Amino acid sequence: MFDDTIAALSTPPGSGGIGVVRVSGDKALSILNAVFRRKKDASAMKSHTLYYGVAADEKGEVADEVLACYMKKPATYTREDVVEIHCHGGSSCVAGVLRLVLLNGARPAEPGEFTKRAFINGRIDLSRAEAVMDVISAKTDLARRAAINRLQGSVHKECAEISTEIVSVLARVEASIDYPEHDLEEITLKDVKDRSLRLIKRLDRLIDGAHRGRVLQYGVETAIVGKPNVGKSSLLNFLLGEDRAIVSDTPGTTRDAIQECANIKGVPLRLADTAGIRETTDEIERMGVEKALRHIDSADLLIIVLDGSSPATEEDISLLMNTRERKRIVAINKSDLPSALHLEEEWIKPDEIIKISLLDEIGANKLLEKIKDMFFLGEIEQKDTLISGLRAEQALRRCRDGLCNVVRAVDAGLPEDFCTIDLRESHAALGEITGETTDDAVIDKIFSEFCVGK
Amino acid sequence: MTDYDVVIIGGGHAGCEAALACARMGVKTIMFVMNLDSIAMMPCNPNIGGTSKGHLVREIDALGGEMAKNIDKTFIQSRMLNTGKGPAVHSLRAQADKAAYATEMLKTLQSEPNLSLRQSEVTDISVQNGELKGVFTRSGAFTPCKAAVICVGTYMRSRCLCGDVITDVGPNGLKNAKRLSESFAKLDVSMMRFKTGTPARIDGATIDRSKMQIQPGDEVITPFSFDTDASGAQRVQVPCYLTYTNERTHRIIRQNLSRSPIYSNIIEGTGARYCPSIEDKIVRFADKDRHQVFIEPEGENTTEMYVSGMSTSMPEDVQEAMYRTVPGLENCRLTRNGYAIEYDCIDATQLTLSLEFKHIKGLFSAGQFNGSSGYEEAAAQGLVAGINAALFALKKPAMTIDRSEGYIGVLIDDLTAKGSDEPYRMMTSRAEYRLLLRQDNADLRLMPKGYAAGLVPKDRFERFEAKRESIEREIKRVGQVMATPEANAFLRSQNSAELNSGVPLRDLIKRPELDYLKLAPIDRNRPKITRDVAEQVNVRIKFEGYIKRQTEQVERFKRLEDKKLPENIDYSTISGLRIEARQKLSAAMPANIGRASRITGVSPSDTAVLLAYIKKARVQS
Repeated sequence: MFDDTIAALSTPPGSGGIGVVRVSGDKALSILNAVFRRKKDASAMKSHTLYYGVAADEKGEVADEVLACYMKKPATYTREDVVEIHCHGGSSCVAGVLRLVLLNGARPAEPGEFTKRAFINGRIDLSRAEAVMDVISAKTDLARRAAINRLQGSVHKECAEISTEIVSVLARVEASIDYPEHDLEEITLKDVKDRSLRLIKRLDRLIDGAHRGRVLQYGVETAIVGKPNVGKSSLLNFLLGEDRAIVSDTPGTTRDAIQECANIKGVPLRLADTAGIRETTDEIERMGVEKALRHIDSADLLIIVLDGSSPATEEDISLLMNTRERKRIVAINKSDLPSALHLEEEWIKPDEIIKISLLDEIGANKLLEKIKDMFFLGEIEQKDTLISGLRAEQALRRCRDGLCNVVRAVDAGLPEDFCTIDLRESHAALGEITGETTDDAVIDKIFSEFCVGK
Repeated sequence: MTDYDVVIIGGGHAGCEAALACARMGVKTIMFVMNLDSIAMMPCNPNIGGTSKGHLVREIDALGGEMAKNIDKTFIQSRMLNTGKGPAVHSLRAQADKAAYATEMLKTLQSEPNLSLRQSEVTDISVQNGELKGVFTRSGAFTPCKAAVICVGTYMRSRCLCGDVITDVGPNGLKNAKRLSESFAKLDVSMMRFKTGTPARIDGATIDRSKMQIQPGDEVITPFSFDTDASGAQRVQVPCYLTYTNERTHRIIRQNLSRSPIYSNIIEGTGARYCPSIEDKIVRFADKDRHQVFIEPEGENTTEMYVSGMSTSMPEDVQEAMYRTVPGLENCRLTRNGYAIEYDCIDATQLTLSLEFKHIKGLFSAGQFNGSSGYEEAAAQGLVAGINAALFALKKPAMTIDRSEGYIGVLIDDLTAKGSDEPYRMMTSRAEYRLLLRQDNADLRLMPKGYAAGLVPKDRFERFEAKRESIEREIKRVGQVMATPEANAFLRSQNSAELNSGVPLRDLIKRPELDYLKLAPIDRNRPKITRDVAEQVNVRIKFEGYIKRQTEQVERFKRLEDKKLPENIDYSTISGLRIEARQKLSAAMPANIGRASRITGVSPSDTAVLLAYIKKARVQS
């Protein structure tokens, strides 16, 4: 049914005692054989049996000491060949082992993909089919959003630039193929090669950075939002239990989003206090506002803070209206003061509201309970940023591989149309990060850049 | 009254292929045309083929169509383009003698015993309960039929524009068709309005050829049809000429832009980006100081010439002035004005891959009416629609071509799955499996389909099978025959590395500096094979690695194409699909998961949900 092999960390991310990397698909056993070394034992592995050894790369560099188990199909969760590697729970061990598995031919699983395979391969009762399909749909979108979010900022910009450059080379080659008699500035094979080499260097830097800078971030990404000076930073400090953000009466003090981890009744939160959202002419504050808006887009949970002592402003209303579809809690602060805030039903559902006062911590406990309930009832989920980071790294590697093939094709004296096969693959690989599709991009570029046609 | 199985509406390049396919497949066919003197007319450029279009013509030939044979009989110049690039993008183009092309096609149509030709305007299509019943013509006469193919080109409610002069006619001043559009509106067919254009024609006796660059044909002519004997196709060729616009030309155009119907907003239709008028080029690429102009003969028995590169809808006086600024054309006389033409066409996403309307059984449609542009694109669709109309009348399953099998497949899949918001032109960059879809192997890819449909005759198919076997045999042989260090003298002469031990000949063919033909001196027992076969052997071995990779890509593509979606599926009940996807899928009713995934507005998660859905449906049934 499925022709590729998938892998993921199947225990919750974090610093638990062990982490289990699970692999499913036809290549599961060959991948295990490539990464798993047993001491003094060369016999074939028996199915459904746990073995002791190390996970190491081809040079013998050990990622972790592990227990591994191979389970032959069909008596497995997905009804495919499954491999489990039990490693130490620290983020670097898990990341190292998972990376080895991916480098040897697995691809990162989409969220819910093991379950999806189990279902499609007939493992799961059909009465649950509808529910599973909902989950597949929701999770696939979530994964795509997560991968894109992770690469926001400079990395994302760099990917977009590389992508544009590939399209530009492709369009030149394609235009000269489709319009051989037009006066087009011919792109030489040397140009194609030089430009590919420059792109390979840029990708190398990105891949290095992705590898070095990766930390296992986990937790429910939570954004605290609201107009300036309603008490967002005070709420953050309360949740963190420390004085972390600058608290001041001057609106616009928090100019950058601050990210901190907190454990709220067992729920891991990644908290971002964002700049107050308002129109501003201050350059630095505006950058903060833009960053805040990005955090709102990517967050799993929004805590919207309103001032209970003053009427709703335009900014409050538009924030409430724009986030109606999101998982959110609306905290009405300053409930110790006389209430002046009136909220229309159209803006908000009653069960989203919690009244608090951060001066005397009234209602604060209710807020914590609400977060806990939402998490354990499955209304909010944590993002698996390790997987989305690895997925992005793999896309960058495939892009690089394609460009290396382009260089090889030029060196082998092949005509330029052969380069397009790999340029297209490179562009498609980056497309998983940038969301761009190749065909339309190239044809649009040809017609916008070159004067061709009869 | 004679009974007909299939009615063909229109006698252009689509109509001719559709009519011949039906007649040759043994069904009684009638072709209605507005004017019997304009069959197979070429109202725009006087050539057939070119990049990607040449591929379409080869594929038409492989399936048993007529375009390749007809141009082989009537071409006056021939060139293989892109020979400096890889084999996948070599493209054949021939200049046609327009009048001869039309006459030869008419002769071929008239020689088909199963085909009747009739000059009469079809005004209404009769459909009952979603099934085609027949067509009405202008006099009110009713022709019942099992299937019909609409090939009405650019004639529907068309109008031509030249400056502020708007004429209520079809292409080339011919009568247009006014009433059929209403009939489609009644049938719930969604319509669009497109625009295209053509340059002026000039009198070749009034141009100065010495001021232009001569563009001769190839020394050795390659015919289009796999059946045409290359040695018999050689002939004396008529040249084309290259010249350029200049700053004076551009100034005249810029000064008169307000008089162009495009820039004065008279035009309603959507034009194509790849077919810009000269005024478009000057506005959009203002920094270019000159544009190429190709002067091409319209035939051997006429002095008229086509001014390629200067399509225009400027007023007559501006046309005259601007053409005369071009070197060589200083004293040219216009014989026909350039013009823009607007016409009704359909949104082709209403059609299946066999080009049948999804909601009207037996009604097929092809050509510019489907939103494409170009003679070759029209003919390719006409052939597929015609074959399927005949198969429908014969109660046989439809024949379809997918993206991995031919440019025709890419063309029809793009039109029917994605639709087009401008006239659609074939381009090699649209074919993702380009290396497999070469013009040299169109017969290997498609002739078995043409034979299975009953259009390619048995004797032709047997010749083809012999060719196919001979290719396989020779590939096997060069894998077994060893070259030894004895060949080193030869290798030195070719600047190729010498051998220390024996290697199979095929390894030497793969070297960039060598190929199959060059190795003849060291391949003493080489059997006598044709040039065609040698070409296939060479390409298949030389580019083996890339061909293998593309073949793997095709296998991945096929896996989704093979997952069929039931015809009666109710997307509104499938949980997990996004609302936009439900709407798009309900409207398109794609035949399989692959087609569904290419619809704009269907996301990868929707595709995943559909995969789960069909698996569930299969287990339950």
